[in-house]
Amino acid sequence: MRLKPFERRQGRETTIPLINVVFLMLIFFLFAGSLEKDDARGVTAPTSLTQRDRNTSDDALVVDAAGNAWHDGEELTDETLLALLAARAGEDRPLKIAADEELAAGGLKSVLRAARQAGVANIVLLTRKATP
Amino acid sequence: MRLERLPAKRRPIGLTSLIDVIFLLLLFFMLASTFSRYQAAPLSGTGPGARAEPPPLLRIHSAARFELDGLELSPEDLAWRLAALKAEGRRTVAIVAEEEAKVQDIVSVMDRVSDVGLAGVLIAGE
Repeated sequence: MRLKPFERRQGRETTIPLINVVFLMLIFFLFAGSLEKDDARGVTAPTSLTQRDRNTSDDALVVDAAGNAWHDGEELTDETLLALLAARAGEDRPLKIAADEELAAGGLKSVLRAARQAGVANIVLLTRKATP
Repeated sequence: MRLERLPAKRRPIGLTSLIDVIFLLLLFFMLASTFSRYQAAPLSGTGPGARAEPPPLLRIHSAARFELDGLELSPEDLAWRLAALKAEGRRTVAIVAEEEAKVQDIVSVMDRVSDVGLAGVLIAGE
C-alpha cells in the first residue's frame, strides 16, 4: 500500500480567518462594552422592568447588603458619610445611590434619612434593566 | 554624475505585527470594558404638589405582602387596586417599606406603581 506523502500546509490560510475573528471580537468589545468606571461592581443593583433614564455608577454612594456605605472604594463611617452628604447638599446633580438588592429597607431608609437631613434633595436609586 | 536608482524594496507587510497589535487592542478592551448598565430611579419628591388630600399609603412587608391603606393585599390584587386608584384620579402613592423588606421589593413595587401611571414616593422617615 502506498500512502500519499504528507503535505505541508501553508501558514497563510489559517492566519487570515484568525485575524478576521479577532477583529470581530475587537469591534464587539469596542461597541458593547463601555470604559466607564463601575463603582457599584461590589453590589448587585436591584432589577427593574420599567424603562428609566440611563445612568452610570460613577461617583455613586454604594450601600452593600449589610448596610455599610461605600464611596470611591472606601468604606464610610457615620462621620464621613455625613460629611459627604453635607458636601453634596448644594449641588444640582443627583446623588446616586447604588444599593444591593438584598439590602433591608431599614438600611436604605437610614441612608435616605441622613441625606434628607443633610439637605440633599435630588436622589436617584440605581437599578439594572431586567432581562425578561 | 549618474545616480543609480535604488531598487524598490518590495516586502509584504508582515501580518504578524498586525495581529500583535490587534490582539493587544482586543485584550485591552476585553479587560477594561464593563457591561453593566444602570438606570436611575428617582427617589426624591415629584416636585411641589400641594395636595390637601393625603395620598394612599402602600406598605411593603415583603415581596408578597403589601398593605394598601391598612388593607392586606396579595401581589395579584395590587395591580388592579393601583389601576382603580388611578381611575379615581389619584396621582401619587406613598410607599412605606417595613424594615424587613428588601430593596428589590421596593423597586418592584415602584415599577408596578409607575406601570399604571401613578407616581410612587418612597417615604424614608416615620
